[in-house]
Amino acid sequence: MSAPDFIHRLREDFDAAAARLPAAVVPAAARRAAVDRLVALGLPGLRDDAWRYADLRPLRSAALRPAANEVLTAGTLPALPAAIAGSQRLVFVDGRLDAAASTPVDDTLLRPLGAPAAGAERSGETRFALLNDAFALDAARFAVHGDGVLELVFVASDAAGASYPRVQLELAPGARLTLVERHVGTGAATLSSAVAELALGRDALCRWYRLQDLAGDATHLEALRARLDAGATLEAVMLQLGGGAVRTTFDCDLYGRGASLQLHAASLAGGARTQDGAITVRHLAPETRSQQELRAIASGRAGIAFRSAVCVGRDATGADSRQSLKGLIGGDGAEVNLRPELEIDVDSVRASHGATTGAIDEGMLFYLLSRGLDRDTARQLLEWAFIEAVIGGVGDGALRREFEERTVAHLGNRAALEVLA
Amino acid sequence: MSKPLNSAERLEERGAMSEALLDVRGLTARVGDREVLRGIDLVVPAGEVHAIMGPNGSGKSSFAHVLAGRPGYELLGGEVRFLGRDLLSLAPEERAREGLFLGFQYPVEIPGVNNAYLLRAALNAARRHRGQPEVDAFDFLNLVRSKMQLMRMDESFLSRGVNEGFSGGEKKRNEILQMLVLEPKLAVLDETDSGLDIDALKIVAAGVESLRSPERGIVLVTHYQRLLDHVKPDRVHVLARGRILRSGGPELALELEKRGYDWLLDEAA
Repeated sequence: MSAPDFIHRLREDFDAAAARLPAAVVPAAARRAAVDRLVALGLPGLRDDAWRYADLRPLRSAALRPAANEVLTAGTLPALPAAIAGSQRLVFVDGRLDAAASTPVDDTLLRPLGAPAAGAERSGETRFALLNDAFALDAARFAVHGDGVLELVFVASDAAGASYPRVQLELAPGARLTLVERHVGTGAATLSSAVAELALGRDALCRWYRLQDLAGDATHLEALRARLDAGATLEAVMLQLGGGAVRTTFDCDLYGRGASLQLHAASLAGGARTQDGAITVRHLAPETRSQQELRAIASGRAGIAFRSAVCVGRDATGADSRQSLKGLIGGDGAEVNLRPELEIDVDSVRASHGATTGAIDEGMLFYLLSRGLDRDTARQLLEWAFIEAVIGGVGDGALRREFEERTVAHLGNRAALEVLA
Repeated sequence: MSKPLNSAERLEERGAMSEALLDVRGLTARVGDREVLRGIDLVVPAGEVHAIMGPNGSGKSSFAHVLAGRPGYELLGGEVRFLGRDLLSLAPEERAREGLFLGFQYPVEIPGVNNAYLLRAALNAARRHRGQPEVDAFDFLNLVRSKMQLMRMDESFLSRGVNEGFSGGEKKRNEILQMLVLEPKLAVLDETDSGLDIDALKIVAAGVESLRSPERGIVLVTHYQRLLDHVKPDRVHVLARGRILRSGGPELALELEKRGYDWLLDEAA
């Protein structure tokens, strides 16, 4: 891809859209600064190791301006699962709130945050979040108090314009939030750049269940960030099922004593799709804990990469970090690349990491065959078993079921469907 | 003492080749460069329980695995007929559906696949193969419950992952449970008694005994006599150095218990 083309289109689309981009979401100056910063950073070079596994080719031609759709007609909105009892649900279509499909905001749980004064800092790793900073039409931007469930649904529908989902939540001290975030598509080859930023106050608890199930030829770039104060806990389950070219960056700072992250993430890809994940967890305070369970299944000619860095800083005495990365390769042309990284600047920490990639376990396969199961069923079951460890982390029964069913649909998995029956 | 006839000779003597459930002739196999089976001859008629005993590394487990079709063994020669069919030409899953069951010495753990699902899928695979309708969830549960009672297994096992976090004894009982549900025509139990305490051994033995019938054959691969105190074999075979060195009645197991294997190995040398 020619970088000048991309930059030319970026400037052109921004100039055309600038007048209709709301300052309440991102101030005009911050939007323009984001464009300038992205122009300065440019596109990742071919030799840029951090982007080695990402497929950025769709950016060659995709429109960057936000989709023009005001709202989708009711008939074109994809079927959504029933809302979780007592939850607040906000539906965004192509990055814009669809009030008719959403519940009214209950201010005992959610209070709108004022407009940000300036744009967020973005590194080269998160450069495409700058697209979101520049073009976002709307945001789920709240202070969270008390105890509740927030469901965010982002629908990408318009291939003629990009979608910029934007989530910014600040959990008050002691708040407890179950955050269900779904990204779904209507089948078009969409481009989306999502930003999600969570700040957890002291002793806050967030259960963050994320599902990306966009259309198979969607391009999806996302930058996720979490910052945890003392005693705060983030339990995240992230499923990457859809999209043709997906790049996820997740940064988590454990800056308060005893802050804790549990990340369970699974990626599935088949065909010629790519999913590239870059995770950075920073232990910045004593007795912080992080646990990562990452699973990837690539089949066909698909490629999945996980780079997961844990940095234990000088102040993080007594930190405890565990990383387990596992990849399953289901085809001769498929690739799973797992790179756990550990950087420790302090004594007296506990840290472990492991990464394994391989084909299906022959011993398990033979066991199932020896019980009369046919080979395809046995393989599908073992793929299911491999990924189930992640989905099992979803606490809500109905939601877990939904995640399971969506996963099964991607595995093409009759056997697993029966397991669920 | 005249050398006892082997099973094939006994059957031939009775003119009853058609009765053979399992008929192994000259089975030879290797793993890598190592020849692990060096011409095994064995006939198991329907209705009989046969014990295969032998020292460690004699080829007992290899024999059980080759029968079940485990990959990794290179077959060099010989023939195995199971119910008159060429067993070695069948894939492992076909052997299972034809009614061959291997009880594993070390059952694998498969977290994420629950026991109930595996049992039902296995049962229905066999039933489809026989042209029978699949069992529905209700009938299946009733069937499994009754078998679990026999194996003194708690129902919570059903919803757990296959062998996940099971103790050694629980894994073995689970193997027998699977066998009871599947009702194979031939069960080959590879050291099912190893690692069991005396109570678990009795439960496992009762499970095996409950399956004994005129239509069925059972092959117990074991290192020790103690399982045979509870499941009385019709025939006992000593397998060493990849061959059956001696066959006899239950008294042979007692003699082995008393004298060990060395005298037989010396005689064979």
